[in-house]
Amino acid sequence: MIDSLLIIPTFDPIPLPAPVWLLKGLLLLTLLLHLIAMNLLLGGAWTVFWCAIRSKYQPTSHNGRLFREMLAYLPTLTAMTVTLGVAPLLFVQVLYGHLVYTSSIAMGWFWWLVFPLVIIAYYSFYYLKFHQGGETAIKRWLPLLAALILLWISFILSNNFNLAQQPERFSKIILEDPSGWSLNLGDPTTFPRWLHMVIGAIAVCGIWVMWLGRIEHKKDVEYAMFKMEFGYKLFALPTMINILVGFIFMMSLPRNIMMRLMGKSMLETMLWLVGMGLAIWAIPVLKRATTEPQSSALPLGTILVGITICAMVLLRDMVRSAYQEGFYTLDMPKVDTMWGAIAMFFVTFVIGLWLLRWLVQTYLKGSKT
Amino acid sequence: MNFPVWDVGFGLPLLIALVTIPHVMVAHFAIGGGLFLAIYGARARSTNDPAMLSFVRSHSRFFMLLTLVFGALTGVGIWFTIGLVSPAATSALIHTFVWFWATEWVMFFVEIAAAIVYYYGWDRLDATTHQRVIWLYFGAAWGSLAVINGIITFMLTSGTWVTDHNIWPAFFNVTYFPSLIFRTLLCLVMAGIFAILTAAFQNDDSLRSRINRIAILWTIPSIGLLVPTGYWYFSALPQSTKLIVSGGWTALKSAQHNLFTSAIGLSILVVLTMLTKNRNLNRVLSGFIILIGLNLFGSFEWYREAARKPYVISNYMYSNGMLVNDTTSIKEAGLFSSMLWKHSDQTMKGEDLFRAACQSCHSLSGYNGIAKMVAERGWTEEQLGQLVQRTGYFRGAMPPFVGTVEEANLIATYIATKANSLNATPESLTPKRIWDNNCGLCHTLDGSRPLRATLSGLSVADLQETILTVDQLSDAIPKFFGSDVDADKLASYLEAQISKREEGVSK
Ligand code: HEC
Ligand code: HEC
Repeated sequence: MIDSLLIIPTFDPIPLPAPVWLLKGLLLLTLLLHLIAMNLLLGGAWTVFWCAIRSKYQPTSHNGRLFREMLAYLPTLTAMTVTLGVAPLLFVQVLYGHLVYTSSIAMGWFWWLVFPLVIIAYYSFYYLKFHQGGETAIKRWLPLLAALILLWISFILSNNFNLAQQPERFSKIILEDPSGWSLNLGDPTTFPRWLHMVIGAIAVCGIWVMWLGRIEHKKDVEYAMFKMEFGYKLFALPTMINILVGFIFMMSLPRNIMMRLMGKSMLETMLWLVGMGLAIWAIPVLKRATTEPQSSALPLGTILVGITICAMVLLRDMVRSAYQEGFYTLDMPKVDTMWGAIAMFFVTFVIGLWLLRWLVQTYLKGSKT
Repeated sequence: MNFPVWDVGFGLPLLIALVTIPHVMVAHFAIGGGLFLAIYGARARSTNDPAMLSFVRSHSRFFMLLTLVFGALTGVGIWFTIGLVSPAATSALIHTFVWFWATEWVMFFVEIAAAIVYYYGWDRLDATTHQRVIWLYFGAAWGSLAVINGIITFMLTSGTWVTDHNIWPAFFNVTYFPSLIFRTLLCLVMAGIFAILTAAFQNDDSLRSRINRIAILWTIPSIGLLVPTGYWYFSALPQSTKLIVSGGWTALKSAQHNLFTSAIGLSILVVLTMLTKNRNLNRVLSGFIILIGLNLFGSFEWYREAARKPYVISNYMYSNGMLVNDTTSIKEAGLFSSMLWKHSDQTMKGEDLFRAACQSCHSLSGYNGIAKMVAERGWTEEQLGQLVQRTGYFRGAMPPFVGTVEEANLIATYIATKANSLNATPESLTPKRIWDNNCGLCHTLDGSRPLRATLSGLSVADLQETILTVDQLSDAIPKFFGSDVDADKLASYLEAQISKREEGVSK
């Protein structure tokens, strides 16, 4: 017998420990930061792989130099992506835990394997970083391995959070295969949604490469111009493709949700149009930056793309709410705010920010001896 | 009952252990090792000791690679794992402690950033600033322990939170301080044993033996202090938990034993390492030291988790996700109708029931494998059905069974079918086995639910009579399933045990 019952776990009997706006605000803010770090990491891993291939492991070529330059950031970017990912994982569990745990169980092993795989990618970056010079087979394959792992992980995360908003799908998976070796593959939104993210990551990484060109522009103009050109290509082409993929993603959404983006909900339509518009606008702006690295073009282009990312994070959240409209809205859980504990958090947070600023400043001020 | 149960063949508790034990060990090293780097870095710098400084530097690389990558990521792994294994408990904890976790996250962030700046700062920062960074690291790392500790101990001793939901006493619960000190001592031990490991890979003999001598200072006194602290920790536990711990759950006893032997073994090996000058021998010894360290953490963590049974959050939620408060209503409605995750196919009812009520602690033939256990004991399906109804009375500290008799029988059928397919030959029935398979499931002579006083003075014939009619004493007791001969064997055995006035048959 086929089980297609709609099974939705109930919200935790313990009330929310803070007003929804605060939890939601922190969720979106930390998610935004996580996604930016993730974009740089995922895009960076693939760019590093690409440079390794293109340079044929010649350390002196432009590609070879860029390989080493970007590689040096990847371990720290991994740490940042993970650390910045823990916070939204915390808040998403507070607000949507009953759904997220269930979809995670549906894909149990895939979800569980995320962190061992990150460990492998992370150590790969360190290995490459600490073993420079001389080509070995392991060094040839490690960048690809790490890049593939991160790509896979992005797929699993996208898959899980997509599944979490569609209980009519996860209950079927779980009852048919409780072993946790299933993914949400039958869903038409799965691939467009994931590709939209991944392609966006490469574009964002392109902007990073351009900044690397701008910062050391004076030292080696030729190399800097290479980075500006290369970064621009990484940005422009994927962005154009991504507009198409974004359309496909939208068309694959359930009809009532798609219609919201097509005018039924003003706010969502606006966000979508603004996000797309600014990304398109950024293309000529960044093109200009390739010839005028020191002009305001690069900062402007960066801001435009930054706003696009913010708009997309908001839009993504609204699409989630639209999916959940029939069975879960955030006014359902009771709220019992723990002001004392919240105060403890914010005090620590301010001190933490101050300490982080001090750490970064000290580090930058220190000079290589 | 609200969440589905992930069917991991070898057993969910084992999956938790697999992540938790190495993580916890490295996490304690991440704290103690930070202090170690701070102290010996400062000392090497102030006494102008380049050999020591170079050791601290190479140790810091190992330290960073181990704690920042493996330690931090397995920490995230615990998040992933408990969400998968105990979703209901994770949800309850998140809703109670999210601001504490958020606070801990800030510390974690500072800790990671400081570790990176410290490591890359060797050639970049002046000595004073560099030292400040590692002290900051240590402060943040210990701070995050101090926060996490509140949540872990809450699960063991939730105190009055269950009724008043008051967060601060829940956090600073009765085991908070003993556990904090206990863990801080463990951090120092870890600092010592990992210093030995790095030292074993140093070629400079005199440097190596200096480090090994220092490691003694970090390990031996801390291990010594673990004993009174552990005792304090233990005495803070509620009476019911102490009963479980002391009450003859043999596996717990062996964990306790394990804990002591690893502590002693560790001390001996640390001293031996100091005495050997041979580098290769040092390496081998340091390998053993790390393994024993893992065993120490393994038994400690297992012990702590087991002492919490049958709860996952004491007095609030059982390990299978059932709320203590819900037991009555589930009993009234029936287990199956209270379950969310079930097939419409009626033939799967037994499996669905087993999964919801038992599988969070039992696998079929892996860890705590119930089918395997049943096959080895040669229990019949009928007997098993009788036992399933009464799992709440077992010594192993299981939650009460809240289903109907019919539901218990369905579970028994499911388990028995799996047990039959294992084709195991039952163990031969020695008198001790008969005891273990029957009365010993719920009784000991002197520990939990003791029988000595009630049974002493009875003749073998009286005892046999009692055994054969034992189910008439109370609904809690299943009928004796052996033959009259078995009852006789058991009676003589009991008579002998009782007259020996020894500790108890449960041993
Ligand atoms: C809280 C976790 C937990 C849950 C839930 C649980 N058990 Fe157990 N069970 C245990 C532990 C621990 C033991 C002791 C194993 C040992 O002694 O090594 C045990 C032992 C048993 C034994 C063997 C008794 C013995 O001492 O050898 C049976 C039979 C059993 N359980 C059946 C069940 C059934 C049926 C269910 C579901 C209705 C269930 N258990 C639910 C933890 C649990
Ligand atoms: C499933 C668990 C279980 C098993 C198996 C079991 N008992 Fe018990 N027994 C209990 C519980 C629970 C009580 C307390 C009942 C009460 O107070 O209502 C009890 C009470 C007793 C008492 C009365 C104790 C007193 O102090 O009043 C005796 C005697 C006894 N059991 C003997 C046995 C013998 C002999 C066996 C083995 C043949 C056995 N029981 C098997 C759970 C069990």
